[in-house]
Amino acid sequence: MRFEIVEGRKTRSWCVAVAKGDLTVEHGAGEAHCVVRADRGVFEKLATGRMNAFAAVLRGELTVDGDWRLLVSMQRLFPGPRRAKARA
Amino acid sequence: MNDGLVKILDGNTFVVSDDRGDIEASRTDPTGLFSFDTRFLSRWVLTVDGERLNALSVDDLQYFEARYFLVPGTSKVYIDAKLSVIRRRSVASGFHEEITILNHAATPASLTVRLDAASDFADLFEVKDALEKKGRYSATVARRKLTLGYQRGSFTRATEISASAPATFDADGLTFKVRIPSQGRWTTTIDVVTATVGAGQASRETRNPKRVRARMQRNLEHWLAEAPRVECDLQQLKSTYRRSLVDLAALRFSPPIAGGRALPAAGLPWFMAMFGRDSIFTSLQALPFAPELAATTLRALGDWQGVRLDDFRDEDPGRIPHELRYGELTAFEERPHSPYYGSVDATPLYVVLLDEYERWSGDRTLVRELELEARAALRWIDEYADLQGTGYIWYQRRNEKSGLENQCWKDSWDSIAFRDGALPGFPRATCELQGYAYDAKVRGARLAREIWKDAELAAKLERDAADLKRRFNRDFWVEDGEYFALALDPEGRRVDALTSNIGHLLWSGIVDDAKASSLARHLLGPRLFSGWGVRTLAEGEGRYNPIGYHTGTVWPFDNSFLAWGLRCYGFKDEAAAIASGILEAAAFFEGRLPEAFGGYPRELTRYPVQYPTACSPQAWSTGTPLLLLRTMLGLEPHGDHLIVDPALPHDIGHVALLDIPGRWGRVDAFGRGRTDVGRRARG
Repeated sequence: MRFEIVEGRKTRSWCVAVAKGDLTVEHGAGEAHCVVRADRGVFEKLATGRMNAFAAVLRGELTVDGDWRLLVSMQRLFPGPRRAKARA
Repeated sequence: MNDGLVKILDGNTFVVSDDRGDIEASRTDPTGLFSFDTRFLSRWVLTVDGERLNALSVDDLQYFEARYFLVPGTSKVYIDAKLSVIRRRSVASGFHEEITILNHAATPASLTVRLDAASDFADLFEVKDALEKKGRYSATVARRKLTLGYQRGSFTRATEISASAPATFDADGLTFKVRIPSQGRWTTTIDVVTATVGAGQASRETRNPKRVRARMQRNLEHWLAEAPRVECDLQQLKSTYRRSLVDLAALRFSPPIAGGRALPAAGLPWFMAMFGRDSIFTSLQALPFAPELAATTLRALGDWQGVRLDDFRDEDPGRIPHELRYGELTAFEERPHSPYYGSVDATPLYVVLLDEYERWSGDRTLVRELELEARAALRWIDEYADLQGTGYIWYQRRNEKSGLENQCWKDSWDSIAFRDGALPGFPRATCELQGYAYDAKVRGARLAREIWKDAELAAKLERDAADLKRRFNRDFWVEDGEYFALALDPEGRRVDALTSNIGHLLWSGIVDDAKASSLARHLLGPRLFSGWGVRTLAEGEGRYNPIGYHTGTVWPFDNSFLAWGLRCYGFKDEAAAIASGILEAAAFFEGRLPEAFGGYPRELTRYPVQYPTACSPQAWSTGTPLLLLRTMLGLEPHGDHLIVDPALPHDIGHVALLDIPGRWGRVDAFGRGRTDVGRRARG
């Protein structure tokens, strides 16, 4: 899975590979089954639980190309919003 | 279709028009072209020389295709018509429409053919609730195309309209100047394509409408050919069965996340989306007929299983989603459906479906593939659903603005009440939830022992299930009525109204054998049984109303599970009586059971009064005749065999279900009607 992080005119790519549960992260624009692309600010919000990935896709802030199931799996890694008042 | 509207659909793209093929949507009615929960056309009106057309007839050729035969003029006298207009429309990344005009006159005709087009890009939720839009509209005219657009920040949706014949485009539609010789014809095709940036599969789908239509036709034929065949004396049962299969095909829907595989959406027009509860119940109903629906449902819901605590979405780790939407309100988090997790039955039912699917299909690979999801669902029951620490599933929404108050299948505001009509506080623990939890534990134990090879988990689940059953039969039993309370309130008091929920308990197996016969007596007794089916709430209760959504109407889906539950405890005749009533009701709706119908006594109205709702077809009503067939024939997998133990109502006569798919390959089941339901049906 490739993340394309857009900063102004620059785009930085990271590839995340999952093999039998092991995750490897590499810098660079390798082949991927799913490519997601957004501004750096969007990724920062996703990674800190301040934005929901699917809603971002619907708004067009995050674009997905390829196998959607990978995005659905990947968004599980992002944290939830802070100060959840839930029990447990 | 008896509402005068013509509906065609493919997945979550659908068109609802009047009988002329025209669309003139108001802010609140669900007509138009919809895709991914957004209306892409709210106006689509055909005129010839400025005149509206008049419908002679409509053919619903297939669920994805309709043909309208029209003549100019609004007069009721057609005899003078010198022109005929035929519109043929099919759903394809939007829709594809072919307009043909025939000139029957002895002289050539010069005509101005006009299509008015507009879109309000309403979110389906806005149509339901009549909300205001916040973005900007645009209309871009090119030489061969009109693009209607809507933009709110980075959120963009567009409708592209183009035609094969020369046309002049303007911001409000397109115009053809046509000359047709005497006895000649003129034809154009028009493509209306929906474009969704970011979330769009529609925009990437093949744009060749002929190929799309041919694919859908082949797909439907394949679907019908793969399903078991019904042979019986009763023509009505055969046509109801076929209607169910075709409607189920229509309601199949491939969300982008399901890799092209289909699961049942909940219903047209409001619920063409992935629903945890509805997809699971429908998949259960359809298991003996189309087991692949269950596999996709399990995978897709597993993909979206909750992983975190999120109050806005009522999400917890392990919780199975309730509803996933794609519209603008979801995008801007004005609604929580991205996805929303506010149901508490979908999670235990997920484990129930996984087990039942394996019992039918023998597909152990999927059970292993979804082991983590199933374990997380079982953990959710104990760790997140027991809000009171009493060993039961409770619910109370954390999203108090747009979350659901009642998170069980009877989800309207007044569905959970005491006999006197008083509403209990929150959290609430409705009875059927405890049944589902019990069943999930029992079935989870089997999967753990036989497939995941985890004897320790199996033993724990069995202990927990036995304990739950013991406590439940004590805590929920209404002594003076001899039935189970609808719910417990936060103080642990029994919410003591008599409801159809008690039948779900039979299905789940949580009922002590000694208590089962009084439940069967209630279900078929005059307070609950209307003659057509079992009411959601018994006559005589404080909130009883024969047309109350969950407080007196008869729900076909509910009844199919009640009948199954009765069979589980050996009440064959009672199950047959329910099956008979519901199938007889289906005949009044041309085989298409509505979501619900009135709870009036059968001898009072003589026909089932449809609940005034726009949702038809609806998936779990569509699945109802299928589950009733299974129940009447007594189909039950046992190892690698299928047990057949028929108990059919007398009137049905002979029934054969041929080529039932499963781990046994394909087998046939036969039954002959013997059970006399006549006396029982009148209670």
